[in-house]
Amino acid sequence: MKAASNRGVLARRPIALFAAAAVLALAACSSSGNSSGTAASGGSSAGGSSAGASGAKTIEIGMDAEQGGALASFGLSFLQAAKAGVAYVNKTGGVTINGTKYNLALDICNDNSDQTQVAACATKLVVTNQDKFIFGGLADFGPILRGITEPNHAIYFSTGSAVAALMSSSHYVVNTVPSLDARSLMSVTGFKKAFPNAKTVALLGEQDATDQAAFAALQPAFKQEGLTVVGTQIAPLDATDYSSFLTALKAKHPDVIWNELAAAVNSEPAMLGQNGSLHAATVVFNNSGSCQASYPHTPGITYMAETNAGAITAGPNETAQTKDYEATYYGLGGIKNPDPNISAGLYIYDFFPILAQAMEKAGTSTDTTKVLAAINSISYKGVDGTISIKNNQSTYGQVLCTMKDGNSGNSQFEVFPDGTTTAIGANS
Amino acid sequence: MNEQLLQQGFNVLSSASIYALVAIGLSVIFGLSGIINIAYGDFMTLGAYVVFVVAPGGAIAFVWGFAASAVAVAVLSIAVERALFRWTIIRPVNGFLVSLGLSQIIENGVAWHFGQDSVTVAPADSANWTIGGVIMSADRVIIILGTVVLVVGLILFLDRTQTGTAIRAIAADREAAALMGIPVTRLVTGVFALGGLIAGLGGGFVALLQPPYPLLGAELVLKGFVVALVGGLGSVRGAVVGAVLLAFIETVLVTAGLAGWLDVIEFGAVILLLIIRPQGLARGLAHSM
Repeated sequence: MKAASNRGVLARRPIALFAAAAVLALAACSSSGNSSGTAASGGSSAGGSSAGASGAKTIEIGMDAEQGGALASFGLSFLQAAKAGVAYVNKTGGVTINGTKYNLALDICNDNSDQTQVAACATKLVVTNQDKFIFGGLADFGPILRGITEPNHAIYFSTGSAVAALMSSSHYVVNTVPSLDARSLMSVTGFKKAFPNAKTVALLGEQDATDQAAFAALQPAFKQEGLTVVGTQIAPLDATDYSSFLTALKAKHPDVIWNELAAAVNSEPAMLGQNGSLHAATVVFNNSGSCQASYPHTPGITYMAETNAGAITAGPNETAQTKDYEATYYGLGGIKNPDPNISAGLYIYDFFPILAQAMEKAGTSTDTTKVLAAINSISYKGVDGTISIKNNQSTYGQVLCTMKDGNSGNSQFEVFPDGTTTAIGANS
Repeated sequence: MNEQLLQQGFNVLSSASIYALVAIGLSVIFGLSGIINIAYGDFMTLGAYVVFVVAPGGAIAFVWGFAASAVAVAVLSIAVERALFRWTIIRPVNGFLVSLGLSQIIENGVAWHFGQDSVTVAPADSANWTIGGVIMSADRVIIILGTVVLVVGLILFLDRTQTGTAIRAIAADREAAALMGIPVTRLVTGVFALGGLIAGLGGGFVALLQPPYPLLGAELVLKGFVVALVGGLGSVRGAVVGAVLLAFIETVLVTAGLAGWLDVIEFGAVILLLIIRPQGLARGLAHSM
């Protein structure tokens, strides 16, 4: 019996191995791979300029996109914003350089939120396809991209703080996000305007470089606005239950919990739900959140968020430009409507017309030194308000929102670099 | 200060409940088949999403979602055991590799269908009770009590029933058990179903604690694996002790302001324990449960 069962099992062994290999191959196919595409008419996957199907020349813009994996929820929104930016430029006449008209086209590479694939994408876009301008590479992927764009003199439009920390040693990086110090001060200033009686803050973040940098940048801002940090908790990246952290902070009786947990990987929704029971603080400021209906509707708890953009996306202060952005964003299809991360894309959307203007001003799409000089001389009035770029660092206002008892209403307001604010909404 | 300690004690119990469920499932499957099923955490994720599909509004409907989750994941486990793991029993390392691929498939499949963002499951009961200064949400009480009932039931099943005895016999010596007339193949399938049932229930409990998202299980399975190792692979009682120990260490470190060192100290302690006592705190499935 034993011998017979062994023969039966052994006979099936190749099948088992084949099945295992098939499973692994299927998994590999579902989780890897690059894709390239264009967001405008014409264009090919080659870099630089090329002739498209319609006969118009195209300038390829490289986009390293997190279309899968842990960062996909923001990655897909950034990609959609990039497509919208390209569509806007092409809709408004494209780029004219020395009398020749060009359309922009996205050269997309999916890194699937994987470090190895980020490096492969960067090599493909910059070295193989010779793209001169690169977007994408969220969070800690930015330095990987920079490591390839910099020696190849490709201009990298970065949104990540990891790359921002390398600005002093970078020549071809444009930081599309206001500096961390500036954003921290604007957030704290805006918070204090909305909650003038707040005195004490508890910090809650994750064990990553972004949060550590954010906490450091917030300290002088808190001091300037008369806020005292009474407690700090740093959670491991794989934490799922924040009740012990919240309980420890609650013991310090903070007026506000300043939350740096990443919304992108769902730690923030978990923490907010758990705070709904524990009431560690009655105000929670979410540094990378938004005022969305998906937040737990807990009576007595007010949420405030920095909405990751300089544009007000709801209410009476919403501009026609913002509405146009939203219409294009959703009109392109392929994204959930409404997308809770639509405002995240505003960190790059305006930089496509800025790039277009810079190329026209510089008279070239291939000499990145000249284009970079032109970028630094442009003051552009976009969806994010007036954007100026000096020493490759952009500066513009920041939008905050408040949501009390689960009611977001029209509570968005903007804080400007000089500390002034627009009118604070009804729910703050 | 006392209030904080009591509150943290309650937090320990609810965290330990989830860890225990993951560890027990891993332990039971390993004890019988020798296979480390890394996809087990993803089975819990699927359980959580079943609850989201069946009972997103929570409340009393959660009971149906909970039941559906247990049944669905148990059925899935049977299918997976029959189609994949059965052919890797004689070489468990292949089973481990298969589970790695399965994990990727489940995570990407869930993300493709539901999106990368978390989904919201309303509470089964949104009540909060404050007893002695300790805030106890009804959902956490459900998780703790439910886990206790499940663990006690499982121990009684394995210790006191003929089927449970047969399962332990297979874990001790598969060939001898087969020679004694125990239907090994059928019982292995049964244990996978049991593991799936526990995963489904665990997934339902997790959905009460936090919004489910595609990578939820991947984050839980590592902790569950650590707990199972500490407790003794194959031991249900060991898994419970290990879960409480891990949750306790985590909470002490957080309260002491050493949360940033949590993973270092936690895993360092595990390594030390396994050097001193490689079998973990308890013996495996074949022996005392």
